[in-house]
Amino acid sequence: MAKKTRTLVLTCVVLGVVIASLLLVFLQKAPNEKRAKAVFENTVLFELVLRESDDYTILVEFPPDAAPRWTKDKSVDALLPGTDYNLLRVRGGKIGVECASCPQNLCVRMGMTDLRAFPITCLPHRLVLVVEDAS
Amino acid sequence: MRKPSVRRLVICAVFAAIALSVFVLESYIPPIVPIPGVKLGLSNIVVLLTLVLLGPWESLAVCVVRVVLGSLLTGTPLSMLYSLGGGLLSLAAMIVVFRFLKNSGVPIVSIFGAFFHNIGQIAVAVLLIGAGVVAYLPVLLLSGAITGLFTGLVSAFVAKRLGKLRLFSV
Repeated sequence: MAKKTRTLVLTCVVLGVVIASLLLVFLQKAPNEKRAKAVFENTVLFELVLRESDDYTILVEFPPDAAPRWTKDKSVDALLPGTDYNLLRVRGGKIGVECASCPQNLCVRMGMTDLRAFPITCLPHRLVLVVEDAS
Repeated sequence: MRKPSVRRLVICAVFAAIALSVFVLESYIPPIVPIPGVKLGLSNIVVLLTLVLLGPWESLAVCVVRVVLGSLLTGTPLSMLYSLGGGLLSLAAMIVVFRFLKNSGVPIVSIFGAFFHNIGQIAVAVLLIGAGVVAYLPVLLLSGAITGLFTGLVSAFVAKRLGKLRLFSV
């Protein structure tokens, strides 16, 4: 195969990947009934249904020598010093991280999500928030 | 693998030092897009230059030095796993595509490197934190196409000029 043909083939592969990715990202609709899952190291910590009327927080704590635990509407001020945490906010059918003790706070900057294509991940705490169709 | 000359070893060491410096400098730049794994990958320019100007074994050496020392300087053992997974898969893809294109098409080689870097990192993330992160793959592939094209164009520009030097003709 000539060099030009090979370059053309690979350019088409790149374009195909880009178009498929664009379709997957932008053609995805938010499901009607949504459920959010918080996953820590392949284990589901909790699941909840996301409703438009919701407005509450969930504090996920990562104690140094114990499994992570979560509490609804608990303040960060009540935590023991040195405990890592992610404070989740559930509002208007979306879920996000309001504040966290991780260094870069990328999970906070990702904002609120209600799309399967945009899970929220806190890599330092190995926590993933996934949105799924409740049905 | 042929026995490297002292000149090749020295050039390789200089490239490894440059790659490491760029890697550390880039880690101080705040993320442009708030999605884990999305970054320019400027140090990949040096790895790609090493592949084009010196060869696959030298680029492997530069890649491993950059990942291991870079992770020790800027990150955690976990970030080393992500970097190794992404870096080695990316390099393997770049070597295969570079050979397939008969040692040309640096921007396309770089885009494939970026694609496979993201695939490698997602694979490590799936092993460490679960399958939920696979949903990021389309976004990461899109960002990989853009950043890969950028680093590829820069690499092609620099390789064209460096390649004219007698230093790289031996």
